[in-house]
Amino acid sequence: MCTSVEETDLSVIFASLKLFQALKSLHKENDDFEDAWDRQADVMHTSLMGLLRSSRSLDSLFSLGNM
Amino acid sequence: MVRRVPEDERAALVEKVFFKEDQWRSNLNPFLKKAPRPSLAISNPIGGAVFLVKGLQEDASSEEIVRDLDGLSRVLRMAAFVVEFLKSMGVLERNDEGAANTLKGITDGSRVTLLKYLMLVSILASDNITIRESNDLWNQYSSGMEAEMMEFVFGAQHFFFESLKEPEPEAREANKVPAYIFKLLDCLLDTSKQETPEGFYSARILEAMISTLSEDRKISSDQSQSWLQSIDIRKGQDIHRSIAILTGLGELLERTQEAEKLRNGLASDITGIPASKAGEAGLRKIVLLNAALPKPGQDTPPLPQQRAIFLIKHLLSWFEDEAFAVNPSYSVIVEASKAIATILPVIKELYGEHWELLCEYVANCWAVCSSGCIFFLQ
Repeated sequence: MCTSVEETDLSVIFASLKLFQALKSLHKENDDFEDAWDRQADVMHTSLMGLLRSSRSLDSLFSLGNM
Repeated sequence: MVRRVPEDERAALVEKVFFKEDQWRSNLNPFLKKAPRPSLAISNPIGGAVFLVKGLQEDASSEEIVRDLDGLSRVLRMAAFVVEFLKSMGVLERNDEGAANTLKGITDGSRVTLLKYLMLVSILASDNITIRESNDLWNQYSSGMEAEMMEFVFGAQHFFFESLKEPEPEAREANKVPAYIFKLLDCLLDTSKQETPEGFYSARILEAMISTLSEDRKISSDQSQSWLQSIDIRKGQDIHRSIAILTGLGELLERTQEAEKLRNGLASDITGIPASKAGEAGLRKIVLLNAALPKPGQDTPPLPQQRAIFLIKHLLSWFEDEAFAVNPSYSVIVEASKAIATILPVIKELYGEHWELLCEYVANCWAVCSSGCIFFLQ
């Protein structure tokens, strides 16, 4: 089952990238978090690469234009 | 022409040039019926308020909008004309005392109309520059047009913000605000009660005003308290107005006990909302919480640690819910991501499964954007 995000793409991408940035800056603050980060690193990497390769999301990012 | 008129008649003439409220309204109406684009959640100062706009007319008819050959709507031409007129008077550069005095001679009502609609059109123009085609205030896009529009936005907003800095004539206190500023505030406090596009745009002007006046220390703590006490924020009453006040007061508010109590209360309310109501009741509370949270870079703790971890775990529980996965609210995802990013430093030392879930959540957001696949945390 697929659900289209369309116009909201841009705000989902932006908000999740900000959250990723926050997580990245804190992931060495405790061992438990660092282990979880390492375990999920591949999943996050694959997902981020998928996002960057997707023309749909790239179109959204380019439409940011003057932001 | 204005300069050729006797000095005592200039204000009356200038007042006629600035258009009447009904002229602004009739030409703005088609733009106030359109839903603002969700992408504006990341570029406008009152953020997620854009997700709460109701009372929309789907596909507002484009034939209602009168345009010139270059695709400029009539209301944009009116506003651009006013900015050019102010420039030619020397008001924008503040280099003509006579022109400034002429402007002071117009009635408070006309001044309020001028400031309100000029700022409203400039906000629409700014949105249309930031996210192309977001409202089609003009509908022929080129780099030349974009540069022209940026100049218009700069001129209109410069005039607006400079007007807020104008001291009250004959006032002993330098910080006293002229009566027309209070009239404009009252007008915006009233229109921003609506959850319509007009309410949303009014709230954006209100936020800009409160933020500027508070930075310039022209708002007393009594004034800000009275605004806060006039609304039951936790009940979600007059939500656009509440968001504008919370965001506008910003630093002035965030260290106060009232703000701390409000953040705690909103976080507690959210933890009582089930996933089935996340898209409606949940969204309203998170948008309010985001408006009340300290801005990035501030050293004010957003929430106590226990409250923060409960909140994050509860938000994650929404995304694990099967019903949410089938019909996800992307507005909730956006606003929850913003809230979690702000709160996260408070819980950085805590151990638990939430870290893994948060990493998975971020990966899921990207997957859903690139493939449109189902959103679900395992």
